[in-house]
Amino acid sequence: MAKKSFRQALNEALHSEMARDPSVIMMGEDLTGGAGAKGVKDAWGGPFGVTKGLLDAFGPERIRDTPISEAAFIGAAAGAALTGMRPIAEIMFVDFAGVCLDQIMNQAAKFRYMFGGRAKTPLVIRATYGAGSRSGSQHTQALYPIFTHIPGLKVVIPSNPYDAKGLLLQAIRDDDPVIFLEHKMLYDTVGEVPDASYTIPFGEARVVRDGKDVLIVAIGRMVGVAEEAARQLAADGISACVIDPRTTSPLDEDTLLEEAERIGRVVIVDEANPRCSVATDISALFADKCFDALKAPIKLVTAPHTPVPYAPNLEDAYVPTPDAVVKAAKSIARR
Amino acid sequence: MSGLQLPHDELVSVYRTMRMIRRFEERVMDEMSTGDIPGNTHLYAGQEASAVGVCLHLNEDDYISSTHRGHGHSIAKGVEIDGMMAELFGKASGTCGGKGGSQHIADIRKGMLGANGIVAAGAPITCGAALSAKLQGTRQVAVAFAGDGAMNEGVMSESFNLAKIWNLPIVFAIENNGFGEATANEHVSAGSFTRRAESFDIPAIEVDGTDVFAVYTAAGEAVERARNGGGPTMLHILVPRYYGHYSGDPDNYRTPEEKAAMRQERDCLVKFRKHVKEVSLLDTAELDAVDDAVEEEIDRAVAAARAAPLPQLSALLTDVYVKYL
Amino acid sequence: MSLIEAVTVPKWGMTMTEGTITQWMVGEGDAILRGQEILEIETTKVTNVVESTASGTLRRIVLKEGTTAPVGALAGVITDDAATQDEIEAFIASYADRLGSGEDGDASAATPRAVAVEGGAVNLLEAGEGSDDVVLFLHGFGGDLTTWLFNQPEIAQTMRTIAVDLPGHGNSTPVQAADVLDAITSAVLASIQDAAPARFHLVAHSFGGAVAASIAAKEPSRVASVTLIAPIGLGKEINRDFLIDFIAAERRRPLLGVLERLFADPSKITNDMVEGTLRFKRLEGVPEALTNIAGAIANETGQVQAIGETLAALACPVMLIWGEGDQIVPLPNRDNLPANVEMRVIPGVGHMPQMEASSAVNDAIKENTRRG
Repeated sequence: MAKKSFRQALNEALHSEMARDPSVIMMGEDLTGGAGAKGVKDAWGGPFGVTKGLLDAFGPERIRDTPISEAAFIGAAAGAALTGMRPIAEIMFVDFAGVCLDQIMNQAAKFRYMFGGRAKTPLVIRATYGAGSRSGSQHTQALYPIFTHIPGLKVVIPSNPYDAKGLLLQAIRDDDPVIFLEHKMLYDTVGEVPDASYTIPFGEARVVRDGKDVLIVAIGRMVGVAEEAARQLAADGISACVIDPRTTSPLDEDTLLEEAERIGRVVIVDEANPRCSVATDISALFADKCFDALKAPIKLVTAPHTPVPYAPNLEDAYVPTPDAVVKAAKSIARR
Repeated sequence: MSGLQLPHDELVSVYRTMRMIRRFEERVMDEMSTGDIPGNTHLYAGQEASAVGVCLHLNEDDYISSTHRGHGHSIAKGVEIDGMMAELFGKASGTCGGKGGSQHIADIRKGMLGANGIVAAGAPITCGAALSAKLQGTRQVAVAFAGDGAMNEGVMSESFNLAKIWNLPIVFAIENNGFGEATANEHVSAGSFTRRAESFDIPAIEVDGTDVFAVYTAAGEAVERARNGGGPTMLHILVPRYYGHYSGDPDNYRTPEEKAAMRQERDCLVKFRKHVKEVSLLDTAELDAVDDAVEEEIDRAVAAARAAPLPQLSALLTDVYVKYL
Repeated sequence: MSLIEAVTVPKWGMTMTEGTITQWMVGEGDAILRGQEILEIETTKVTNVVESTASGTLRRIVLKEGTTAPVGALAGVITDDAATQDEIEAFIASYADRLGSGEDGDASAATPRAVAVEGGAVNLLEAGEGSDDVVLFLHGFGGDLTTWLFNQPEIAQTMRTIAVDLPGHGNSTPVQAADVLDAITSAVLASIQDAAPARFHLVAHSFGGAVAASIAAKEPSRVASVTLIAPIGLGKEINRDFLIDFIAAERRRPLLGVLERLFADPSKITNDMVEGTLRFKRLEGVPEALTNIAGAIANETGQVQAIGETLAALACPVMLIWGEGDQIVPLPNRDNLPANVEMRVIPGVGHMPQMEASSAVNDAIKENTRRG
């Protein structure tokens, strides 16, 4: 099977689905790059190259470079979804969601419920997230806790190229509003990705690595961190089970609880800030539903309660590392 | 006011719809004082000619979006009043199953994309509906109703820009009733609304919103331009707001004199009756009969709404998603 | 001279490059008998057990539980009483060099290849050298050529082998035809035309057994022997729900519940097996292809295929291998089987004896192919 990058996997999903379904359209800033200018068309193919080649294949009616007006075009995407299209809108950096949060939170998320079940909003909002690129506080946050909190939204966070393609195809075919978050540091990572189309259901966690001494739950880019930690722990005789929830809304509670009950010692590693996060959410789930099976306190390995700093050493200290996960696991292993 | 070449039945229908809106709103105000309508509502009385004059040009599959003051637009677009009244009472038979309430009444089947509790939020959503129509090549048109208050939300200007740059089949119908909640428009709005639209090269037409024929003419130009691929138009419709901002508003920031004068001099129903009598298009008896019929229909709607059950408790958890797990 | 024996990570599956130690069943200092199960290793399919190749004492555990290591890596050291600490250390040190020298380099030599056939391609994996007659491995419903991961490498030690992904499985494209069994048979025959132009032995599992019977019916002169493991087509009874539930399961936990029915010891199923099966089943076109094949296997009244007559007419050796606890295709009554067929029942295993009792199955295959 061919190895493809996370970026290529996403591009493939977009390509195949736009070819299959004419109601799929895309809008966002610089999705092509060069619109209205005199030089090369599709100069960027998106700020991270994810949408390269789509303009050529599908034309400017279906791939629209927008003004810098998140509120307007995210709202337009919501309105188009209400009226028969399947739009994929891009917020260049999830940090910009502040500018259009009303259209996401009060409009798209709530149409179906407020209108008594008589509307559906098959909208996908793609956004990049995450630290590591030295881009400073306003281009690096992991805001999935905010979206996870809102009823009516689904939140998807792929950790590898195979999942990226399958989850994006699922998101586009899904009839509800989906926030699809792509960690900017994962775009170049590589993995085996089938050429054929496939969908991965939401609310379906992946057991990345089986183990019996400690459970490590990890989100997005932290899955790779957890895998590295698991390797180090194995060398020291501690067998770690690593689980990737893939979607925080819906959350695969059954798998998480089953593994937490079996193992009883839990570390959760999450790049987002620690207050009111997905890490605390999953913690509460365990404390509520499998307290008796827990043999040790639940350890949370997260960023600190700070914005993301610019200086490389500070940014590197901000993001959870394998060492931090190993330390947390060892602190609760086999008391 | 110009005489219109509207056929007889349509003229009656124009009056009927305006009368329905007026009486619906007045009746809602009465019912609210009994305490049986939960929460608050924002009444459209006085602004009827705007909704009716614009929606007269729209087919069932054209789109509108509305504001928190949405009953008038809903009725003008053909949303059934039985469902609307039941929705206000929060009953299961309401247009939204009792789950939306006054500010979220919607009927997508009738092209009504929803009243909206967030000022100006309907504008970009309507751009999206217009984009849908354009991409599907259907010649459908979308109208975004909004108030003077909404003109100062950033997203309104963004929507003008987007609509023009994408040449969308959309009409921005801005109903200026002089007040954004309790604050007079001239206290908060710089420049002129029509010049704002024109600054985006969007044609703007200002019109007396108490003259349904004038609104009809202006709206006709805007809707036709949209349908023929000519892009957006802004209508600046000047209307009176009879009640306070919301049903519990004592409205003491307006003097009794100005409120009396408003009802005297700016009543679209009175103006309509006067005009059609002047040009002998309809007679008084016919219009009185319409008044009676409207009253009966509203009585029935209220009775049905009162008798209807509240939603089942299980409805609390339904329709958050099409399918979650 | 002391006896010092290495316990190494075995090669299971032609493309296996590493394994994970899941459990040591004996401890350092324990006495061991040759053939005793001492070490559990996880593969991409099931966990399997390594048997000791020598009697003695397990003097050192080199790779701890939870470690993943390359095929051929030294996991432990068994010695007799005479071996000294220094000798053991020296042995372990020498292994570190040996691993990098490429002695086990052939671990990565076998790669599958796609052969073009009408309407698509069939993926196959060849291994082994020398013999004129090739052993052709045909997997069952919902599986792929890695079903044979404990068998193909062993048989390939002395014979040429070809394991095939049946159309619609693994990396082989599905067939579109009203008679799906016939179309699959033709595709398989076409795909092995170059690699096995003359005679071949058939080793097949479950649905693959029906494919094997079709092949034998079409080309009886080319078939040297037939070894069928729990094949369909020798009775009416079948657990049709298994087929339906397998196709319907879209998530890990329900699919695990379905796969567990295949094994007498469901704890052997690895996470990778479930994940691998899910990834296969998600591919566009696969559910439809599987549904077509399921229809060729069973309907509401039971099994659809009947291969008894074909087997009875064969002149070559025919052997059936069946798990006593098979919950999917139950053990048929010996009286209902053709007289020329040898039946070998393996106790304590279910529908996947080639995995659950691989040694016994490998021995049986060698025996039957030698007769042909």
